[in-house]
Amino acid sequence: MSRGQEEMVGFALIVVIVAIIGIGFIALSLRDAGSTQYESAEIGEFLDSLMHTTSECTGSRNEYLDIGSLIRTCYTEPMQNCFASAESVCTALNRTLAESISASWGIGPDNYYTGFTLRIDFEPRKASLTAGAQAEEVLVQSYGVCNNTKVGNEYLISDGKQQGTLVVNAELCLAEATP
Amino acid sequence: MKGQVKIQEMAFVLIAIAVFFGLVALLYFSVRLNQLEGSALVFKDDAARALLRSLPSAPELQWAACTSCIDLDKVIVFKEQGNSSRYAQVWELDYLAIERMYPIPVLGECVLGNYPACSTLTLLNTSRPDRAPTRAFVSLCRWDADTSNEICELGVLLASGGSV
Repeated sequence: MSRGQEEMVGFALIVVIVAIIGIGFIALSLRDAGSTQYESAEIGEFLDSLMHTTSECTGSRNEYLDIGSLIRTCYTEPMQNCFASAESVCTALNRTLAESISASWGIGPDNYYTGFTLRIDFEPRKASLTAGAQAEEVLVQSYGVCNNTKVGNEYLISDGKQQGTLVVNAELCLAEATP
Repeated sequence: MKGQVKIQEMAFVLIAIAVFFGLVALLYFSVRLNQLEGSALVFKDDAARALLRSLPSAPELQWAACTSCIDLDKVIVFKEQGNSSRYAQVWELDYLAIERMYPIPVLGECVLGNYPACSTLTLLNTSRPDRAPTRAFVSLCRWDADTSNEICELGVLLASGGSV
């Protein structure tokens, strides 16, 4: 191979290497990082309104419990029954949440909203952790299927005993790439 | 002569590299601008929703025990007294309606004769909206005569026009 040809090969090699590095850098910066989640004000409003919604379950003083109180009671006293109907508080909570989510969001594989997940977890205060309290899952409800794009938000409820917080997390899965 | 040829070769290569990265940069910024447009739409939607969220705090609609809740009993009286049209300019809205979502109500427009066995209270409908109304979830509270209790339901505010 002549010297000129060697130099041309060298130039071409350098151009190819620089091009590969440049394309790799751009691909990394534009990469879809797997699941994309956006914080949604609409989900936040939904949770806020949902927690104030009155359920059919009555407490020990025959007062109708709102869903926020129902969640707290299901966690702190899971064996308690609704006063009027004798239905378990946790059963009433599951049923009420399922009905309200179904009524509020049109979830379906061919719809804009393809899935919905509601998750309630207990997170103990730091001081309670040393006393042996543990984080635990209280309830999970899932509907439909989830692709990559989700919007979500969370709502916090005090457990009433100052040992921790009940975190209600909702995620809505969207069919399109942008929320 | 040989040196000049080499300089020319180097110049061509550098120009080719510059053009290549110029095209790549063009592609990159066009993708980024598209993403920015999506973010701007989200921001505008959030701003519209913030305006809707301020409506429950209006004294004509507010439930006393909860600042973000709407008093449905007040709303039906407000509607029946024909006050809605006077507020269209104040709220800068062409369309404003409240829909009850859960518990699932009997479908129909609410009037004093069928309240509360109804699903929709249309407060403003001055012109046909040219786009889907913005939606915001709210709590709808009222006195329930059957249970002799104050109850709150899950509902949505629908609005369009002006800045919404």
